[in-house]
Amino acid sequence: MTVIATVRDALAERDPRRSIERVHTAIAKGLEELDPSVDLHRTGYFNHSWAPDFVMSWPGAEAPRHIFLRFGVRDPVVLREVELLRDGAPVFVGLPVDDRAVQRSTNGDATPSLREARALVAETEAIGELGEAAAEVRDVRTATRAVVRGGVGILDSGAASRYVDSYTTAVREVLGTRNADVLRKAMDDFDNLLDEPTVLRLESSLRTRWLAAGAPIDAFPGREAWQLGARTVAEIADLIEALLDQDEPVAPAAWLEIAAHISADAVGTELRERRERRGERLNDFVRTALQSWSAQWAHSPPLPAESFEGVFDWVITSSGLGIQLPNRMVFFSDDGRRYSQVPSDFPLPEIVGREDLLADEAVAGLGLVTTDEDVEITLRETATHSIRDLIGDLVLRESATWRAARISSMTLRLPALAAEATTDYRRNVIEASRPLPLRQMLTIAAKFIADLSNDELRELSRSIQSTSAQTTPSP
Amino acid sequence: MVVAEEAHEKGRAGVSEVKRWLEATMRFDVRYTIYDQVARVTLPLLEGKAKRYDMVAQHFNDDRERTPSGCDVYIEVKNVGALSTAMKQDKQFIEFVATAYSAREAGFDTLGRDPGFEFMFATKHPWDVKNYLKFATPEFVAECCADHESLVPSDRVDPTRAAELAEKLWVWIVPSRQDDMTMGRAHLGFVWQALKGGSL
Repeated sequence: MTVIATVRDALAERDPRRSIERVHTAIAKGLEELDPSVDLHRTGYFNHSWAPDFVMSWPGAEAPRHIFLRFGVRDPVVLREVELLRDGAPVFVGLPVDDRAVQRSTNGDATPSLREARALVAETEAIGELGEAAAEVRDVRTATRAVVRGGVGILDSGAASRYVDSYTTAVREVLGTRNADVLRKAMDDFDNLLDEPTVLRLESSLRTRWLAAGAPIDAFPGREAWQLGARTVAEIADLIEALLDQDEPVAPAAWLEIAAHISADAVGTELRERRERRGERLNDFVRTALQSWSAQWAHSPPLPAESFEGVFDWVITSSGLGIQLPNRMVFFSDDGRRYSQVPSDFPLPEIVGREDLLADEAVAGLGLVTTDEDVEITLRETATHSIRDLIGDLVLRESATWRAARISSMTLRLPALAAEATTDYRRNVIEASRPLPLRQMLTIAAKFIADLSNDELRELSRSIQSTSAQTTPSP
Repeated sequence: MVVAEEAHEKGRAGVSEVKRWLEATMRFDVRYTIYDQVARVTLPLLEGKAKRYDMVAQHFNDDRERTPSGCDVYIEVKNVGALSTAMKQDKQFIEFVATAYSAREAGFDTLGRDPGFEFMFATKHPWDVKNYLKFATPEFVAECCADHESLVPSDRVDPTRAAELAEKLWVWIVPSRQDDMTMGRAHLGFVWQALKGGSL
């Protein structure tokens, strides 16, 4: 049954209390069809002069919206009510009246004062029609949600139909033809039913989809000039979230363009405030963005147990942006203070069994702890042997003390990057002398902290290959 | 604007105002007016007739829970401007009382018990000042019924019922500055908060 039919049926109910309850339920369902995330609090009043029937809120709402049910909502007397009830961006939902009841309609002149009061006058029939459109085409719900939250003016059947047409035209242009003039005209029509902030938000969602479809963002015919480079970190994070959550796939070019304007650290810092994420499209994003990103610090805490679930998935957690290795997590940062409070009592790795690692020519320094000594070894640049050679000599003496030695720190020299990286094994933190390519930092963590096998390192390397057409350097 | 339209608009505005003022007292909820659902504001009378009121309000007790007092108040609104129109209220009020008696009797006949109706005559202009204090008396009610036998056959006029109806009549002379006396939405919001424990 349509909303209007349900309401008419409810109004015909003999018992007034039951009638009102059924009317409220029908209208609530009608509004929820337009925006499933609304919270509609029933006040217990009906058609009351000043108390709304519902107080409506939604996630992130700055203020609730008051819903008043009215018979004959198009009568000029209602405009007086709009003046009296203008707080709360009121919505007046017009209930069908008896045929016997005498009604007059407002003319179009009412619209400016409604807009000024941020008031929406909506006929039940029009609410039902919007709901049917949203049920038929899920995409339209973005548009109907906008009406619920920021609709102003008069919503009758004609207005509902024109609005849905405008929105579907806009989406068609964004995803297909991309005729800027047609798109701009369609978006201009949103003004007939939405307040300006809501129009801009709806445009923003279309812009996101435009970018996701691989179109150049500067070519989007937005009302306001919009350049990615001029956006704040929070705004870019909004865009990232929208792209991560939308149904349509995101072109790698879109991820690349975004990654050029925000750091890995900023992505982690912003998105961790919103919600945790793991894998799926986040993997696509980061794997594409890796070629643009760097980090100066990394933290690699051990996992409680080795896990095969979600290995090599990128994550957003309270620790920021990271990746799961088979036995550890690795998180990245551009701010060393981020890891100043991490535990400093992780068990130190034994030197025995890590001889091959120490043979890596990058290893230029080592901190060792024995039962009796704390030893720091640094190879001069002119050294002709490796740390492994030196340690091998000590270990080969079969000294029980040295065989039991543990590694407290390790310094890597990276001449190609003109940098050094020091690993503190007490805290599982890597600190580089300057930002390193993220891929490089990850490899250091994977090899020298997580101690992944060669097979695992190859798996890791394959997993972080971007799916984009662009060539990516191997780690 | 033609005269009929003007009259309609004035009537509608008057009903809307009275609704608002009544609800601002927190003792009434006017859920239906003649511009909403006619059936809800129409009462059957004796002799197969019916009376359409301007609005019907639920009345509430003055307690924290705001419990219904158990009566619905049917209201006739007279948005009177001119003296000549005000003078007609003599006859109009008499008919109003007779109609109220008839409606109440019809309710008794249908339900077999007191139907819980009360009746309010809301006007902006006083009338018949000499007899004003007698309006809500059993004797006056009986006189009104006698004046309108077509509404109340003589064998239906009962002194006890007349006395009961006298207790259920409201006469409200609405001052022109009622808006200046009415608690506005800002204050009403606080009251609502206190009642409901939430915010409006």
